[in-house]
Amino acid sequence: MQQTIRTIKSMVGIVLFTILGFTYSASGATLDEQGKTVIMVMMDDITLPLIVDKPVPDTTPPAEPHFTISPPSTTYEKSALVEISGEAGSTIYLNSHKIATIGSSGKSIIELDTSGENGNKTFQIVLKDRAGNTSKPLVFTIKKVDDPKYNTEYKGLTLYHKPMDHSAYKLAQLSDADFNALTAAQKRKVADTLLSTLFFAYPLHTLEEKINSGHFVSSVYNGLHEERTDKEWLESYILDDDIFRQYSQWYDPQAITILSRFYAMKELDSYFFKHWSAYILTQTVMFSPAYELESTHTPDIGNVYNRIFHFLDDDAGMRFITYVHMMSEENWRRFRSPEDNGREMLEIFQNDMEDSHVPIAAQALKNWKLNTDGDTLEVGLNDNTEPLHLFGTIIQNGDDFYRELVKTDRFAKTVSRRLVDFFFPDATESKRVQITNAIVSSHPETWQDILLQIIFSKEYLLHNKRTKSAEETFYSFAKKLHFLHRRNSFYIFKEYLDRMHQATMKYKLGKIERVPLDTFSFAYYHKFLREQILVRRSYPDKIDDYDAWGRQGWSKEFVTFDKFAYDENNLEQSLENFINYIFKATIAREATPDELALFKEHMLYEDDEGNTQFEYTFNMFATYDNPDKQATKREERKGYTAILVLDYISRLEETYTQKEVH
Amino acid sequence: MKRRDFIKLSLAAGSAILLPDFTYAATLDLSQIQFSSYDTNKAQTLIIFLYGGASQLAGNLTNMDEIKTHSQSDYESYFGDMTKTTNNCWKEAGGSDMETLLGNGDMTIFRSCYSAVRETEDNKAHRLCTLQNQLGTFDTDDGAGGVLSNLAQILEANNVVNVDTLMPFVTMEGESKFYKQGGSPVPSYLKPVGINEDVDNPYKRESIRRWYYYTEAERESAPDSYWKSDDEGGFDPALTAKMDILAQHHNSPGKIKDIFARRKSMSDFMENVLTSSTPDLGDDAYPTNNHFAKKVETAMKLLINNPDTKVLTLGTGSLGGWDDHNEARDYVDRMQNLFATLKSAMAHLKAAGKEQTINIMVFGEFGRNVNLNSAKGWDHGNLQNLYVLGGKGYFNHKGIVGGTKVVQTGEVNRLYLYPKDNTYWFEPLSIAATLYKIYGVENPEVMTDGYGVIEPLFS
Repeated sequence: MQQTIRTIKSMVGIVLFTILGFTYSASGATLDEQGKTVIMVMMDDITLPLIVDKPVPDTTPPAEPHFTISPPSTTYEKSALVEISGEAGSTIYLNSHKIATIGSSGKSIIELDTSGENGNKTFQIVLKDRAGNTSKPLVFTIKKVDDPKYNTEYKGLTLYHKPMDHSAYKLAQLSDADFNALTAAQKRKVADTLLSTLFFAYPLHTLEEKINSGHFVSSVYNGLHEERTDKEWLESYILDDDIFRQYSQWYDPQAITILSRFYAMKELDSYFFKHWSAYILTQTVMFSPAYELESTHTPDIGNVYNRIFHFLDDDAGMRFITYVHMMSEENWRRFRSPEDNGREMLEIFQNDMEDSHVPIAAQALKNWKLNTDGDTLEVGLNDNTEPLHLFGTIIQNGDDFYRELVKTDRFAKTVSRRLVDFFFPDATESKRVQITNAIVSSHPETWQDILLQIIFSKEYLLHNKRTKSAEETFYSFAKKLHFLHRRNSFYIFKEYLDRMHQATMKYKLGKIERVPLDTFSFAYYHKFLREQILVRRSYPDKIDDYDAWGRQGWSKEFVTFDKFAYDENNLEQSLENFINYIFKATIAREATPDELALFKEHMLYEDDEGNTQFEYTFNMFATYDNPDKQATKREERKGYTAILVLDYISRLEETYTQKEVH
Repeated sequence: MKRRDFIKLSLAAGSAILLPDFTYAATLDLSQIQFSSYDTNKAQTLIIFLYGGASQLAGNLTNMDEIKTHSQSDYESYFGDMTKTTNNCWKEAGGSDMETLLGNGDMTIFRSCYSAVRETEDNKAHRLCTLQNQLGTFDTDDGAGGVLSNLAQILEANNVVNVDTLMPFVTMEGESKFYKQGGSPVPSYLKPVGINEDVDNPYKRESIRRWYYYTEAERESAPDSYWKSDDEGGFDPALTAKMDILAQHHNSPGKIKDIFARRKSMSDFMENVLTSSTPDLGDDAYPTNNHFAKKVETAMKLLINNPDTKVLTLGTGSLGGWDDHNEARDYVDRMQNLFATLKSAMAHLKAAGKEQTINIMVFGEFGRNVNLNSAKGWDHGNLQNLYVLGGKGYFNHKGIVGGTKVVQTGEVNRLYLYPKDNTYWFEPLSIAATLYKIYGVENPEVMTDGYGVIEPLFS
């Protein structure tokens, strides 16, 4: 052990010490060429070396670590926590990877990764002290097994299901080979469709790298099954009032937080996908928290959404999730009497419009009511005891009604159809029936089984035409443009969604039309995209001022010179390249000749010698004696060009539309 | 005999309802429409659709004593006073204002808008009933167009509206199924334009008068003012118009292209028409601090100042929904608010001299069960009131029309109003037929499954 050095370091750690009545500060301790320890001592502006004797070498290895809290011999969890004891200050290596240091207590808790396939998972822990001495290894094995929850049933209702493998999908999927056979332009379109559907995008160069990898589709699909997000950071980041303004209950803050999260999530991973799935489900008639109603309360937004998210995270089946949701207070605040709730659950999850079934449901629910005291669900003990015929079986009470409802084949067919309608709003009835039947024939038991099957299908990615929702355009443009928000950006987004009649989670019957295209609604959609995002540039000097309007907008990163080819001796070609870059980065195609001509006419002119010149405002190659000023001016002028091009793009129908690929 | 003559003869014989199904088609066939003249009535309509299905009780307490004896929950202990007015309206739920409108001959309350078809088909579902009422047919397949989409095409075919007509259809509720396009495409200009009560103008593009949008020549033409407002000598840069033209050249046909094509004219419309003032209505002034009243006032200003607008539709989101399954006490205030506003709207029409041409129709997808359930609300029913106001040049207001009786089904919570024996009643599709009729369609039943107009309005 290097006791000498440690003592000196400890003294140095005090920072101030006194020699001959003067106070000095000291920092750093290094070994000189002779092996002596050197400390740098500072007094005012003078720095002097203080040399101490070479310490005695430490050759004693740390003792073998041992468990103070042992690992399980078997587990079905994705991780396991253990506590080990060992020499304080020594470094812990888990399977050769440095992970932590033993604290002063001589103990440390470490997390073991047991995710992945079932089977034995072997771990080796060694400790290494500062002199590089290594302990004997602690080797142990944990057997990963299937979670017994997957075998859990409640009166015939299976509660948990692993999402099915994509090879079991019956709706034809787009493979990497299919994707790679497309033209470059088609690949960009399809990639944009897939990513924007998921409220995501990549900057152009990153996207092109992924497309050119040859396994774009599978990499996105596989990515949705891996967790890479730092959840702890993310969830505290979006609640940081200095960065994302936290609103009072009058502003439905839960909805704003949910919107903020999609912007803040940087990884398109399993965490992202579960949030996206929960979001999609809460937009539909099935799970809308319906905060437009007097009887619902603001926390219902978070409760419904978060409950679905947690269930998805825990591999709960879609029947179980629905069963719990139907019986929740939040759902009863939406449909508020036995007859109302019974009728609507039959319509929504069975597509059963038979009025004669409603009194049966109401009879089963006769002891359920929404108490006027705080709109509280109250279930009495006076259950119905009369046998009732429904769903081809006999039910008696409310639990029977909800449970037997979700166990039916009709349930799977109805919810599949609802999601097909959501993603194929303009497809013909026969096409929607065909898609639904294909999904149903794959026997989906989880929401992921349906959602993934739809969005990775050939039918969706190649043959579907529909208007993109505002979430799809906003979040994808945000990623494409390196968009920077200000503190209230997501409150504004929520308000605009309301004006577009695309309000999130607000409507009692969900988004009957996901993207209303009446003039008024679309006018707000265009206004939002154009004025809040596309013609708004973020000013670098406002980067740290989250309250400044100047912070919101696309950042300078979007238009840096490394994004496109340029030649200061060929202005016209450089301008064309820049414009084409903006087009490709945003709407996945290059500008047409007439579009290029429009901008060139405005931004270039021919001088007296017949040479093409930039108009002063757009001169991205302007020269100044001061290099900093020159760089600033060049960025500024590229910015003007970009705003005009993006303004034009905001007027294109394709900006708002998912197109078929021909 | 020509098909058209056959239909006409059948109508004359009062047997339209017995015509075989093949006589009617959900898909609009303009060749079947007999059109007389729009100019006879010069009708303009404000449709207020009570989404969720409003209870009929505000306008009909006739059966209240019997209802109370059968109801699961006690009405009076929950609602307090339920005072009957002269015409058996619910005084506290807008009844006083209803009486004023009835007394002035400005309104008819139809108490028996009932659907025998839905009774047979066992249908009391929101979505389907809304769809049926807004399409004017029970045949709601893909080919069926909305009532106002059909009306738009009929008016166009008969030269009442053309591409120069300024906003013939306006919505303050988004694009409801009233405007659903049927089998044949509807020209862009006939599609509804959206507005709101705040005279907020989303059609106006901001940030186009930035200096780099202008050419040097444009800037030099008015160096001190080019970026300012029009009044201060400013003007839009030519580039923005060029962008629009080129973008529209590239845009595929469809709704978005249509909306972009109309953006500028809609922006001007919003700026000019909706900023007009309302005359002093004295004691009948619109309720203040009230979103719904503001909406109706805006709607009235638009209809009064722009005769080109034929129909304006308005939902009642700002009043709250009418799906009162629980805690129905709010219904009383909502109805009070609705009829205070309608009274002001009638005064507004009269002040503008438009009560002969402009009418207001108020209805929803269905009415409600009259059992006050355990959650102190009403579940779905199958009989509703239709309130018709104004349009005095073509409607003969009759005050109260139709009577009701209570039917106790014996099942828990299944207590309904039905049309009284031998009383006048009509299917909800007759509302659509009536609407077609006042715009000049002589045989509206060909579009409404054979159900004709609401006769008492015309007799």
